[in-house]
Amino acid sequence: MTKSLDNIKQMASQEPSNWIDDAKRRQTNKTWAKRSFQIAVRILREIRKQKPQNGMTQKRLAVEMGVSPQYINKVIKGEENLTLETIAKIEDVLGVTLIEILKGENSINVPVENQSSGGYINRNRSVHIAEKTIDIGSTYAKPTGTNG
Amino acid sequence: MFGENLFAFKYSGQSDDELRRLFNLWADPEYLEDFFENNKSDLINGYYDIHTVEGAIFETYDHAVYLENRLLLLSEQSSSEQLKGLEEIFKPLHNSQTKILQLNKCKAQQNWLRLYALRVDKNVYIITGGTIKLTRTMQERAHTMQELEKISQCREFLLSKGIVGVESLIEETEI
Repeated sequence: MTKSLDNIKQMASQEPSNWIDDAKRRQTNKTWAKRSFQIAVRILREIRKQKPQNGMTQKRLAVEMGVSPQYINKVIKGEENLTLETIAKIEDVLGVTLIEILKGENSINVPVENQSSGGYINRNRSVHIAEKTIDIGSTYAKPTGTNG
Repeated sequence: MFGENLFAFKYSGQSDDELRRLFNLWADPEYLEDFFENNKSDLINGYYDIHTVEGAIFETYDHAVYLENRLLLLSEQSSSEQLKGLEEIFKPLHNSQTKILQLNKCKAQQNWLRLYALRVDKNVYIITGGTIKLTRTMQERAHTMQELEKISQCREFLLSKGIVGVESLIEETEI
């Protein structure tokens, strides 16, 4: 060990830095923390944009949401695991969309003989697409030993 | 900070050491929004490829997470591995001209976060500060100039208090 390291260790505070605790906390919370951060940024940008137009501030946001300014401060620091209710309230007050849910419907055009479906299949609901009766003739005999 | 190789200065008037203070700042949406709004012209004038305030904020968040996780991983390793890891992370500051040329060639890095440290006798790193550097040289902006001054003051402090000897090798390094 060098003399310099010895001196540095003697000079260094006995109290450890809390950086490691902070870092581990950020890592543990990373799944929601990033979303919270992104939402906080959107809120801040929106307030900055609206302030000259309608006087919006963090304090006013708190009042209109019916929450404390301290709570809004936590929200804009990205420290809150926000509920859907809170996000919806923020969206209402600021008139913005913070989270968009994709509707999840896929439309596929399928040409069918019977155009009663309008040539459209929606995967999320049953649609009477087309039917065609197949005449299998009278020589058909149901197999034995099956359950269907 | 961890092990026997990494320390950080804590300045009077500050409640946290520099490493803690900086990572908290880089995770703070309010600080970053204000910083990039006030330095918008440096984004638009494009030393880097990100030209919007929001884009810059999100990029900073991602880089800070990456850097912090890298240091966290290092903190869990053996002392010799920590020293090796620190040597890979911290590069000499005075080679920054070369680094800037390299950055120009691979702008995909988009990494403007900086941590500065004094390296003493090859095996101790003491973080003096850090910043978001959007310009080519540190001399171009007050907030980066301030980091140069801090490095210089910290070096003088170590020498004047006899903590390190004048024969000690003190290198200025940066991530």
